Amino acid sequence: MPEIKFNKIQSYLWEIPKQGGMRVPARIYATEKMMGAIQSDNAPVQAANVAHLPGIVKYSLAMPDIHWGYGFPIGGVAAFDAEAGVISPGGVGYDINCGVRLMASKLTRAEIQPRMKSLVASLFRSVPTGVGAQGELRVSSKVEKRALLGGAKWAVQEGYGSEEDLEYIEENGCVAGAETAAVSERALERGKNQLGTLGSGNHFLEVGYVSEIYDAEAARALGLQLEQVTVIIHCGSRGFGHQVCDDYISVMNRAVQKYDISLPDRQLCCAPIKSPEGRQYLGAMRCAVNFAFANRQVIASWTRDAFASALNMSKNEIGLRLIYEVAHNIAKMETHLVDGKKMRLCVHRKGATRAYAPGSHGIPAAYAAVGQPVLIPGDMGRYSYVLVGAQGAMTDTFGSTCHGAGRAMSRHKAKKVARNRFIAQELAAQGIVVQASSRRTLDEEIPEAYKDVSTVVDACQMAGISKKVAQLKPLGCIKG
Amino acid sequence: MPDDKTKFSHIEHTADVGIKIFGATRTALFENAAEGLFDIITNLKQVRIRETRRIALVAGDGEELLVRWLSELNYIFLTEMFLPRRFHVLTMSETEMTAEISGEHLNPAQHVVHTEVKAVTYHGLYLRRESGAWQAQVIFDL
Repeated sequence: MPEIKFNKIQSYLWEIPKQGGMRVPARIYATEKMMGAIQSDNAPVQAANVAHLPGIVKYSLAMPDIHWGYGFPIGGVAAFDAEAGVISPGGVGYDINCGVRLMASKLTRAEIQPRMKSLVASLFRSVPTGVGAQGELRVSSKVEKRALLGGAKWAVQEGYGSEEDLEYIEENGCVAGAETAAVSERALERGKNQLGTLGSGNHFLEVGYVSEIYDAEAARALGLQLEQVTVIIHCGSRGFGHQVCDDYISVMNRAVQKYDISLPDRQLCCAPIKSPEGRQYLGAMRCAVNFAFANRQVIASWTRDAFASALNMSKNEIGLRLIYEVAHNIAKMETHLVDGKKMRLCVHRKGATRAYAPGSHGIPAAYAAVGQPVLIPGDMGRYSYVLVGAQGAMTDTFGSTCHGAGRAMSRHKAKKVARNRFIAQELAAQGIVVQASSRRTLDEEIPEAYKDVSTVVDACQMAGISKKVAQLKPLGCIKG
Repeated sequence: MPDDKTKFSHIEHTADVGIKIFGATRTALFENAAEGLFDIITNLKQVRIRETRRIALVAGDGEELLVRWLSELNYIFLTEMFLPRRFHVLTMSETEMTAEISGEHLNPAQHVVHTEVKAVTYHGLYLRRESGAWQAQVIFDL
């Protein structure tokens, strides 16, 4: 790949023109200031590499939180022609249907702040975190397969949460087309004790409050008000999804030879969507998507229990209504307008979130007038954002926006910066109670290891692909 | 260039962690790579040798074999909580290998676990012989 050159399309949009084996240009959404940092790592090269894949439509896109991934950049969006395009496990990532759920309580910050220590301890006891964490929920592989087909619906049938929750989950918490026959024994084995576990790394469960409202009408539609206590759950399909991705990267490595696809990076391996390999991956990936929906539904139910026991209140008094849940590592068959014509596409979002505009198909009736909620977690110390999808996403980004802050420091560097410091105490001094399974996780996840998420959501708003509704600030959090 | 004793070193990757691995022979490189992986996961000094297991693997090419080997060890750790400390490659060709790994089951009271490795990726992967010695690079998804 020659040195990357950018053309400025708008003040927030940059294009890498088609060159070499690229089939389409690559486009990065970012402000001029952000471009400096973005250009300093390999992410733009990765965005250009994705443009080499057969059947890619319009552009290889990157959101403002773009950073160096493996194969696809994190923050990448790529749509492939459903007839002639490919599907790539690397374009979804290992943590299939990693996503974010936001719940809002009937409580205010003042009511719970003095009780945060016992609340966080109760959450830490109720939701297994960390490496190899095993849930209270031990299921046989027969039951596990039901979860793979039913997703959050299965969890509700098993008594975790209510039917009403399902209305407020992307795809209503269950995608069709899951094929358990396409899943390996190894994936089943890795997943069997992990339903209802948070995992490690950047996954977390955070209690916070609404600290600012930018769009009063949208906030009202979503049921958010200032000082209201909220919960964010960020996790995915755990070992089950990791193994599905791993299994199919091996399959696709052979498929690229079979279908004679030339790639600039092995991790981009793929197969035609219509090929047996492509169909099998889709079937297995959808099982992992449903696993993650089930996982978050179970964790949410335990969260409601933990609140009730720590605060000694009824679940009805506490509330914790599901506002919305989004997926940010996923491939989905969607219909979008391409050059004025409706086209069936396989949209890969790797570290990117669906952000459908008001009036779009597939969003809850209660939100039809304001657009699909989009949940953008920040770091442990600063803030997270609630956005809604905007029209620009429908015309320019296959209905997508950013997914988070993006790391500014490697884990290695963050650990060095955090050495000789007590991160939990520093956060406590700011009024944030943190409990983690591992000290190293806290060190690696220090707030300054992340970019300021406000710059990311502002860039998305400027680009017209999503709109800010509210800001949430943390009060406490549990991590792996 | 690292000295002769360096088994592996960490490389900077913004989102994840990678290692460069060195070895006088292909066999030594594979053993060192395994140590590099478990150095990310745990403190190997705390792990005692109580049990030995045998592994046999086949892959499409040399690089894939390296990914398979590390993935296999990670899988055994994640599903059985078996922490290997000593890695001994018994036989090795470009695409096939057998090995013995020795260690013990994870005991949270005794072993620290730093992080979970989700997967061993193919991104930026290489395995090559340079002026007589072997070198490789592997990036993990954490």
